[in-house]
Amino acid sequence: MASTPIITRLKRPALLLLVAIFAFLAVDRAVGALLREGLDRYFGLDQLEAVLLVGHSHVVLGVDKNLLERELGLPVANYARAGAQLDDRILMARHYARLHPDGVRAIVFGVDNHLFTASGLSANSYSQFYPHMGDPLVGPMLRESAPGWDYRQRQISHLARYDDVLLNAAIRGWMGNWNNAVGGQFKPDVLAAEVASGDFRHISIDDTQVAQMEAFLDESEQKGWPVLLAFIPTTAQWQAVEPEKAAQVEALLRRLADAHANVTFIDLREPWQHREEFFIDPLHLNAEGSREVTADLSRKIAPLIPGAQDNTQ
Amino acid sequence: MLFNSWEYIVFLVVVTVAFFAMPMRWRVPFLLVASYYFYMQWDWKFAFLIGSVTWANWEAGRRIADTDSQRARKAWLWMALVISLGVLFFFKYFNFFNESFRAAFEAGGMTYMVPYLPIILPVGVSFFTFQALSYPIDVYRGDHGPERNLTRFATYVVFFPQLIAGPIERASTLLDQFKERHRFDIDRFGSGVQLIIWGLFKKVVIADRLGVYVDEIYAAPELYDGSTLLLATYFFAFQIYCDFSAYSDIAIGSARILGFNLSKNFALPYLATSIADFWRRWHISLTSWFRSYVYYPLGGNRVSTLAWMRNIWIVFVVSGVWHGAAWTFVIWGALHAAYYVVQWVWNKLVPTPANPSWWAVLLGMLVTFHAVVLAWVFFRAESISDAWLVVTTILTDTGAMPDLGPSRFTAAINIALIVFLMGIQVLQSRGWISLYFSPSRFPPAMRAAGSAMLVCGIALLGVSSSAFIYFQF
Repeated sequence: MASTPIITRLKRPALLLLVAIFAFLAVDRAVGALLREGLDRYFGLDQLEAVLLVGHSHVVLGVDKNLLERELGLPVANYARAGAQLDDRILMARHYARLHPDGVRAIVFGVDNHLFTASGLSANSYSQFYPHMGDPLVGPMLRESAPGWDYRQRQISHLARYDDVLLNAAIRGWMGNWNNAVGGQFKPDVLAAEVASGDFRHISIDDTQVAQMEAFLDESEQKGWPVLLAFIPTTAQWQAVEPEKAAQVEALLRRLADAHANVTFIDLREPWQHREEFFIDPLHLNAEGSREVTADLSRKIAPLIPGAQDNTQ
Repeated sequence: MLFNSWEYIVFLVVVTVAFFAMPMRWRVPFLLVASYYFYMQWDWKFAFLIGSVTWANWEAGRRIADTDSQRARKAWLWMALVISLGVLFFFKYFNFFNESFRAAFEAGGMTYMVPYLPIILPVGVSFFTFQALSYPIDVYRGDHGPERNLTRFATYVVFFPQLIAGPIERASTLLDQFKERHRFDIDRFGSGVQLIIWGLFKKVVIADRLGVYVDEIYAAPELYDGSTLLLATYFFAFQIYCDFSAYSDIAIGSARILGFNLSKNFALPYLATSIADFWRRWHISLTSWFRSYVYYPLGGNRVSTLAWMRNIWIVFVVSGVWHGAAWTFVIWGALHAAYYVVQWVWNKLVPTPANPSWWAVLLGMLVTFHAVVLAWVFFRAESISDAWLVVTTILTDTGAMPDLGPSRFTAAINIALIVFLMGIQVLQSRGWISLYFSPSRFPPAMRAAGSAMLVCGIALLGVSSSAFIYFQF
């Protein structure tokens, strides 16, 4: 009996393999595109001539995007990511500016005591940029920061570019939901115990970080972007952990603002840092706190942003 | 080299291609070398240990077969038992008993001089010693002939897909397969790959996600209320099932690609309607091992009721100790023994109808599941006091909403994944979806597309790789 030719035997499995590859690519690309669109909406990367907010979790939770838009009468792009360090924030500002070369109305740049501390916030904050790895600004940064195989996996699969935080943001972008939904209550005794044990992130001023910031502010001055260095409040107890270093950071921020005509330092700490009920932990505001701080922020920045409605009355 | 790593996928591809490309006579030695290479990725030194266990059991089997003296046969069997169980005892249990004796001596006001030994537990030691040991016992009983070829026997002991965490095979099911001529079969390849993908999905998408929450809560159970501890315990029930069954699935799928059949190790255990039914579905290869080599030699159920109950307790407590050198595992085993006896009494009082109604089946599932979940508390907790705290807090402090951890979104995904898993299992139980290569009602193209969707799920929802729970056993 003649055996079946190998080509005939492999025809069916080859077809099944093609079906599997096609199904994978179709779903991966289609869902990936949907998620990317949702993420861009969430970050406001689709917003033209918006007031751009960049920062890390302080800004994510501390600024109510909808309220700020209503108060300023302008679109707001809340392009803030948990764990974003100074270089990430600068990259985000440049990313938005690259997408909208003539559309940067103002940049509200989240700052805090740890702005110039080089380590300790996030070891892999680059991973939050994977969905935008095709961008000519973001791509090279990822190629440099990410382990090779990690990077290549995400070149193959668009879905692999998302973690829970990004997936949540993409879904919220489609739903138009920017609410601060994080629960919890600041516990001063827990912070006191952490401080007593030395188990907290210490403030330091890294020269490289300072130079990076200066270069970015020079660039923004040259390009005519108004930059508002916004100090989103943290608790007074947290501010008091390393008061001398905190004062040095504040002085540095004020010096940078003074050295650039387009830069203003906006200190939002008072009076909110004393309102413990507005915080979920030593660092982050809850929904109620974020509304109060946002209203305060809008009052302080409206006169500095071209086209913003006057809400100081 | 973890199954849930790219290194393993590359290793499996290379081994498969080389295995089928080389002449038949080289295949078994090649598998032996590949399996040792696989094992030595953890710690090369333990290759000598596994080699010693292999040789001792092979030699014992050969000697038992070659002598007519019952005394000599028994002596050789004892040699295999002492060496295999001695290795297991020293590496896994020495410090447990040593510290228990120390505590007892010190409680009695006496000095205890034996020091604590910093022993590293060889990965998979409980699995490969049991698999190796089954061979001389089978030869002694006349259930299997002697294997004259040491290479073949050594490959049987270290066959890489099931070396670290089973399924625990017997000579009659696996050893003889190394004598067969295996040809590459594209259908076996396809079904093996599909099972591997399903295993990977259960591991990196379900088990490892649930593990993040479970680890957080069980690290400090005193900080949480009953509803949170209950949720963490439910999550652990699904974590350990997905983790362990994933390993078995990847093992069975890998072996299938190479042309070997490994035993089914899980059969939808959380759909069990009684404890006896659960143990017919959970870690089937270990249950079967204990039944053959502990329960039956003790008399099984062909003894008085009291002796039967004693046998049940012995088997379950030994099974608990097999899992880990801690009193929590002993209690875990003892609880299952108690369940078994309670079920026996219940069946005497309330005979099960031949065709129980759907609600009786559902009730049986729920009661069985919760009994198993209760026992998992002892399996997972760091100590008996922690386990007791978890149980009492669950029973006395369940009013509040559970603490869902840092992200409610992640918690929602976790719950959705459990619902998805159980949905798949119900479809498997109804024959819609294949369970270990059984026929499926879906056409092959749809199954291929389904596997592609699982890969998408792994890409989107998978979390960083971590080791399988059962590696520690």
